[in-house]
Amino acid sequence: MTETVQRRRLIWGAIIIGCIVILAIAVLGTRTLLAPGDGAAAHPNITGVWNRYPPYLDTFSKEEEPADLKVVEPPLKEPYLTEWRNMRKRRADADAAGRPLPTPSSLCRPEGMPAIMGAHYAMEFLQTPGQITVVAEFLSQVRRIYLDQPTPNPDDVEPTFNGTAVAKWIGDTLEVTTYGVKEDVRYEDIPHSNRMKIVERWHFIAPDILQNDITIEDPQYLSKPYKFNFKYKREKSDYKIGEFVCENDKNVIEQDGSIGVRTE
Amino acid sequence: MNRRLGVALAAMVAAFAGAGPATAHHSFAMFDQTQTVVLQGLVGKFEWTNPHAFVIIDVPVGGRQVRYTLECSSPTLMRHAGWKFNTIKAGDRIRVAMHPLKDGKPGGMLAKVKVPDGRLLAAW
Repeated sequence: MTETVQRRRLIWGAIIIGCIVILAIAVLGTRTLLAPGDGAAAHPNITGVWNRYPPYLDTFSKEEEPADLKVVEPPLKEPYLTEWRNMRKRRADADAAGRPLPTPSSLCRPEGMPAIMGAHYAMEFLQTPGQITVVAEFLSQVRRIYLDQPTPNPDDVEPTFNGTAVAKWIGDTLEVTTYGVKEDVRYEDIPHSNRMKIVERWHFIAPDILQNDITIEDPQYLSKPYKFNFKYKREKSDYKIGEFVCENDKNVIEQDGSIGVRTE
Repeated sequence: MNRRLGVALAAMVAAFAGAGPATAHHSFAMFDQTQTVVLQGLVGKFEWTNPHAFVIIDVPVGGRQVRYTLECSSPTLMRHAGWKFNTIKAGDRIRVAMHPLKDGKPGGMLAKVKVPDGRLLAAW
């Protein structure tokens, strides 16, 4: 074998190895772009910071609240429906009298499921292997959603503010099932039992617009499934979520139960 | 009140008529949002805190100092409106428009403020 042939073989060998390395980098890089850290390249990329869409009205706005932001009346059984309507009226009357009643958020308490997904402040969604994580700006809360895990047993799940959530991808829809929301954690004053089941279906309805279709079942309190949706818009990549720790003590409960301001 | 100051305050109230960024997660019915009061004084404290920030301002009224407690939105929403933790500080002279507390206590909902660098910032 001549020295020239040996040199050619070496050169071709180097070229082939180089091509394999470049191909491997390209494949791995593409997987990373499609599904950050998940390894499931087919799933939509929902990572990022999201705000409610359409956005909440300005405090001083005189416009009517968009239908998408209004609370849908729950199909509660009686007497719960009458009690719920009475509570709504109590709140409206208290507002008209200038003595507003407190809400969980005005008391700096976690709102729990499904209210946390109403996103009064921004939420960050993170996709990592086996998990979707919701990082809520309000109170710096974390909601963990476990992928491809058994559905929790409602009779054996620890009651918590956000419950225990598992999810699976069905096509391009993320279906999240939650059990175990504490019974005293009420979305918009709506009562529920320890058997309440919340199913969310997250899916894109436009580029960077995600819709969360929520169906709540609770045979003890609801006459039929309670359905509504929240929509979110993805923020630009430079959007920053701030720390949110409640520390001021000027929002106080007055003697009549209303929330007021402690002046100096 | 001299005529020039009156015109300036009227213009400021008109400028404050626009809406600012804010939140809707609880009621602010304790404030009379149909009334706008303009105050000028020295900042006693600027509390850049959650869930809401507060501006404490000392205002001369009838020969004495009255300390007003003015509630703002959350730092989160105020950042988007151009605020920072050090936008104002104790001792700064500021002029504000606020919606007073309905119960008559010296406090209100801070609508807008002319900060020392000359900007007119919404607090909600």
